[in-house]
Amino acid sequence: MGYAERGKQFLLPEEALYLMECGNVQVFYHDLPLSIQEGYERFLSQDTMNLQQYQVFGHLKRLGYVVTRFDPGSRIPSLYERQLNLPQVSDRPGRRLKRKRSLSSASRQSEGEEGQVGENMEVEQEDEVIDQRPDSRPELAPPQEQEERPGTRDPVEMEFGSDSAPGRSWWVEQQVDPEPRPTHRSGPRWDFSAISFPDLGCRGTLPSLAAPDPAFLPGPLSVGPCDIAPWLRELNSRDERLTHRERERNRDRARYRRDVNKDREVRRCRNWADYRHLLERRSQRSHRERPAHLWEGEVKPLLQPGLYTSPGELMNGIGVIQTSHFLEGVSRLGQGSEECDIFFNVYQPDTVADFKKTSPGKPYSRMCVCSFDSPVPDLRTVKLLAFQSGDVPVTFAVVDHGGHLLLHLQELPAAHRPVALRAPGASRAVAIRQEPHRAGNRGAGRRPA
Amino acid sequence: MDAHEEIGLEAATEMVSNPSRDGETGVTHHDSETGTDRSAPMHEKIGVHFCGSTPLLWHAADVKAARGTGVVGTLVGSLARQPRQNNRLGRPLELLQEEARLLRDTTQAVLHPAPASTDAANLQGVEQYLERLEQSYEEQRTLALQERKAMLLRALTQKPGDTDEIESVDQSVQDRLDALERGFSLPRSAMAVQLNTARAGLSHTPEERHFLAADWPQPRDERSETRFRVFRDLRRQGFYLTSAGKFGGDYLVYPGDPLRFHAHFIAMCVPMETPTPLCDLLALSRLGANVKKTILLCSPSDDDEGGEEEDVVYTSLQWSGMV
Repeated sequence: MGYAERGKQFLLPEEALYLMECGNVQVFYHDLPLSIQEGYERFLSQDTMNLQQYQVFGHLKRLGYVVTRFDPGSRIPSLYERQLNLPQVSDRPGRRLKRKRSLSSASRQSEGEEGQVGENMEVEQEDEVIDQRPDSRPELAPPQEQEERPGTRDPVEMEFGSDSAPGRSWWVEQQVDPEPRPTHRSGPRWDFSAISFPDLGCRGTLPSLAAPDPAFLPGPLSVGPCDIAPWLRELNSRDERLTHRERERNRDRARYRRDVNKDREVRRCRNWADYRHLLERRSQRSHRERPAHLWEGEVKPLLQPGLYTSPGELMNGIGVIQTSHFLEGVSRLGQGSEECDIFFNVYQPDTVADFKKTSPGKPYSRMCVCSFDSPVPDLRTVKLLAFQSGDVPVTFAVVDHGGHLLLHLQELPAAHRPVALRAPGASRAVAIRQEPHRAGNRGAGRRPA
Repeated sequence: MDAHEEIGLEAATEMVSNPSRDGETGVTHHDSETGTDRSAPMHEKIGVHFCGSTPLLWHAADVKAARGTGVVGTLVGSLARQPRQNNRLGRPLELLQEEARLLRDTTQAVLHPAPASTDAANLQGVEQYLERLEQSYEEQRTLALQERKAMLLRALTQKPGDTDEIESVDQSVQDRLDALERGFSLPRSAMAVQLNTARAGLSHTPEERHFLAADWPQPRDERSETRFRVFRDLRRQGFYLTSAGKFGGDYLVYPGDPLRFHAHFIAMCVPMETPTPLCDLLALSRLGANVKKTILLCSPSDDDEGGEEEDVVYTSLQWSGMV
């Protein structure tokens, strides 16, 4: 129990209270020993641990389990890492526990062998957890990436193009966007709208280019007018002769191809987000009748004839809707279940002898504390907690006025599921198992119920 | 004598643990109250203390008095003498919200607010504490010396010897005892200290208490109101109630003290107008049949609000074995 910091040994509030109740520690506050009642009132509060959580803690401790606080910041190895059996990095670097307030400088441990236990009793507060899950990274759409792509694609093509963000050309954006971004303007200071560029390809001839404005040229360089007539002669400037079929095709294309910029709704969009939104709305409107996921991939028959010989295999084969696993898709669920958090790591009593706080190893279970009054954790919460806990089972301790029920919410192993149940609708089965050997109600031995 | 009371009272009557062995470093915890503090528990109101929103009873006399009025509660603390087990627990006694409210409404109890944390050092208190510590040390020293002497005497006299030598033996024993008395010192670290269960010190005067009287720490909603009305009515009929979380109900209803009787009913509090799915009822009555209890659906009727004769409608469900 306890932890050492700055050369002193500290106890967490619940540990101090438990030891007080066991009669092993006397806590002093302003030179006076605290009674157990005062311990309850001072140590148990909303921001450390409430009474219910302490009751579960005390219950497990009295049974002999090693109970430590669960550190939500500790990184639990992903499934991939677990499969590879990567060594665990035990601690995040730079993580320090914040101290909230010092209860007293005068509280000291009782005399005797507990004497080396430190001077201060401090209340620990969990610090903010920054989850570094890669999936939760905000979507970045870096503008540089867009600019690097030359604007070679037809805007119409783009409208129906499947990929949304990275393929867009910078030029179109310039057209649609009424005010170009300030970063683009910062390069050359020239106003290109005032500078006319000659159109060399047009038939109306201009025999020579005028000399460029000397203001644009670097110092000593002098450029005279340029005669482009010989160069134009080499250019194929004949009219394009189209075959009948080609003309037909062009006409067809022109009929169905529209300039995006002619679309009034598109013009009303002020930025890319608006435009994307509009496209999404349109595609939703057009696909309203058919479920989108069925049309995403290639459409093909469910089975190749003659592939399966037994009905079982056949049933397996046409399992269009796959069984979902308990932890599937958790990363999409996002963060946060406020009402239910993992609170304790619980280690088996028989590991007490060689339990080390520095390398606690894999806990036997992780414990959530809920009360009968709080709502039942929904599937999302259970999934999130199970994900957070990794391969260690999560146990829900339900506190009911001094009595406890310990519940496991877990997935039924697939082997127990009949094959027919893999049909749609029964893609998941969750079993609620009560732990009879530990669910000991307080008075179970004596009080007839 | 029921076991609950025994537990509750044990700490109160427990004396400072025996400091006979020198090596013993002990902190025993037991109640601070002496008999004089609460000589007349019948006139004293039960003090309900709150930890968060949970009502707790800390004093043994309070626990006993509450038991006398039929409020059972659950002991949730570690037992002072055997702290590391879960079969028998000690104070504090946790009350149901309804129990605490009933005690207060019948003016048998007074709610103590959580004390404001005083940061000022209490010099007088420290002095008193040190004085008492010294006094206890002296007492323990005397006791330890007596014990040691008795041990020595026993060890010496048990030695098989001739009867004519008894004079000289007595003489030598006396010498040894004197030497022991002179040289004896009880090390401070071997002293047993007392760890109070309940808060020591003076309580508030009634006026102060009235001024400080805690508001109910939990907001009342419809559900708690329903539960309370059912609780009050069943209590009035003389039933003993405990929480029925393990059966998925609201209360377990005992015809007498829970230590002597099995519960006969599992009470479910459902408001009158709330529709209940049939499967829920089936599940409940099936469960009740398995644990040999009757399911009791309790609905307080809406019309008389706070009338003297509370009207609660009870419906009992039993699984019939007819084929």
